[in-house]
Amino acid sequence: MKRGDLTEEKTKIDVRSLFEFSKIVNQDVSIEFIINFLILTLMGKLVCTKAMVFLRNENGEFYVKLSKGLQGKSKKFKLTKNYLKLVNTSKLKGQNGKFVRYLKNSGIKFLIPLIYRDKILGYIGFSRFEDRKINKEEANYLNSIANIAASALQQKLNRDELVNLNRELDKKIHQMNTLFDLSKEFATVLNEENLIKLFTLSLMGQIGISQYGIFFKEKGIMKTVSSRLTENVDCDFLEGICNLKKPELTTQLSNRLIRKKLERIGIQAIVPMTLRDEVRGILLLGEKMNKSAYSDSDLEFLYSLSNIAIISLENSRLLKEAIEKQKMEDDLLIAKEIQQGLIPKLLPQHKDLDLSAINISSKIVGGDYYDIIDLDKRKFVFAIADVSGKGTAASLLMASIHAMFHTLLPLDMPPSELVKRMNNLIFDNTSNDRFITFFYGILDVETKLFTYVNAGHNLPILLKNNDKIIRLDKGGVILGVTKEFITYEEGNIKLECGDLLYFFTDGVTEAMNAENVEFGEDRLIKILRASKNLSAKEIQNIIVDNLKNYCGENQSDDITMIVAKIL
Amino acid sequence: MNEFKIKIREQSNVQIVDLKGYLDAHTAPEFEQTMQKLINEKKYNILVNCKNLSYISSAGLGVFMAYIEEIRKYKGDIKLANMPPKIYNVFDILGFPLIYEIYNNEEEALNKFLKKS
Repeated sequence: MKRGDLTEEKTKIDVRSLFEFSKIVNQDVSIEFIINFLILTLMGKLVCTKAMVFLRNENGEFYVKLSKGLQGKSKKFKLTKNYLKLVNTSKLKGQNGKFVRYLKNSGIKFLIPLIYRDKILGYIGFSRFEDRKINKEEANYLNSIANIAASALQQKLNRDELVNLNRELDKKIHQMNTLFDLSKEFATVLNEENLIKLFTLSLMGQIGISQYGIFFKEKGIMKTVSSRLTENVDCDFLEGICNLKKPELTTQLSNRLIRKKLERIGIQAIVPMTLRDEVRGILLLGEKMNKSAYSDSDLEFLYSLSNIAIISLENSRLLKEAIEKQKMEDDLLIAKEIQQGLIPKLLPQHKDLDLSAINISSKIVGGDYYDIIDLDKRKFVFAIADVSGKGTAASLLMASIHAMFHTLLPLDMPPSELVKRMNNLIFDNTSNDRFITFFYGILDVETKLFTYVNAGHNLPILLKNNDKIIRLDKGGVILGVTKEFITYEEGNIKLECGDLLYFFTDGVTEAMNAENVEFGEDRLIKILRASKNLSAKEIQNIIVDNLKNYCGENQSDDITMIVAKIL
Repeated sequence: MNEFKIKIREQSNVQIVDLKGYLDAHTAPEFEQTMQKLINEKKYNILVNCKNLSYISSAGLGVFMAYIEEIRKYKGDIKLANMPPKIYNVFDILGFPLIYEIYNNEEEALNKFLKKS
């Protein structure tokens, strides 16, 4: 064969080879396949002993995608100067020192760029058997195959990018679905335990983790709500990460101590649970089961999920509180009914007596007690008591007073003895900080003799028919303070027609106006004097109205009074 | 409504769980109870047949995550089979194929369990 024929024959082979190459790399093959095929083709065609392909990553660095006939670690290179055509590495100097050194050390003699539309996708580096040079035909062939490879690579890169974008989009859609699904579900689930269950299941499912810890602040203190961590987390320690504004990876934490501690128990991400700019809870997350790192998208999702959860949890808590409060109020209303049963619904009647009484509690239930009892159509008992404190605790004691009084009264003992026994019972059965002021007296309507004992109660007022005031002050100390050496004195006083007896608790005289000035006894006596000719009921109404006008809506203590007129 | 249903069959010591319908935040607790019951009964070889599963949410996937470690600790496994493409896609985008073995059909998954024992 002549030389010309030989060249022609060779060219034919080159063209066929390029055609074959082009056909194969443009099929549905992977980037790895193209690179591998490119290297093998080159090595065979140009008798190469070493060959490698660098590709450019998203940061613009070139890394070794595949190499043959070479060993050693691959590095990443940032190039300040690009090579736009086939170059002999031995002639390179100056720029890209690291890259050039790497090529020379690896024994790479030639470098040819993979260019697609002015964009450098990567480089092919190779060296030939026996250090052969490259002739013109070979250079043409190299350029052609590099172009074909670059074009095919770009296609695959585009496709891969599209696939990745689609995957990311799918993931986002799924995240949105999860958030939507949960906010819908959260809105209907009001039980805290179920909310947390749903929250943790979604968390595990979406991120693919099995280790997590959820902590909530309750009354300012961090508490473990749910945890699948292998180790207990000291909640005090968590206070230290309560200042996080957004989710963080453990590795990014600036506090070294906290970082070390979290790393030790395998925590990879921390998500603050924020409500109205305040961190109300903390979510600690372990390693993902597929070992991948937490992405920004993961953290974003976790943050949204946590915020939806914390709102629902807060709602559930508020609801629970409201229900409990309602339940307590219901209980109290029942207690009120019982208490109302302890004071007389209807007052006894007698032709010589005009009676009226009222009890107004400041709370639903109160600690005031009064009673008017018809013993035998001739003797009438008047009792009034005030338990220290108010509300539920006072009402319980008030009920005890009622029970004691009604048990002891039929035993027909002198009033001083009865009060002493009550004192002893109260002292024995209540704590030391509970006191009761108590007054009771018996009126004989025939003789009009009134016998009474006053155990520290506000002195009842006797307004005589001649307008004189007498205070009923005989008796002794309040009930429940001491048991030793206690005796009670009895008071006896003869009443007359036209006399008015007024019994009251301190809620009357100590009622305050807006300026914190007490209603006072003087004002009370003045009203009594002014209205003494009216009926008992009318007098009572006038006093109640005056009190209401005086202190407006802010009744602070229980108010009780008995008005008794001797006819 | 695409009602959610769970059925359990037993074959060669493997519990085959048939899931049907929507496995979402609403129905996940039911599935969780089923899994908890199997574990309480010390049945650790679980094959979930997803053939009739029409939707799975993260809460549903969470049930798988909640038990896998315990089950594997007792040398059991949760394997999945017959996944419709839509369901597989969800598993795939969340990276679950790296954690769970997913088979085209029940027989393949069953054989895997049997080979091991």
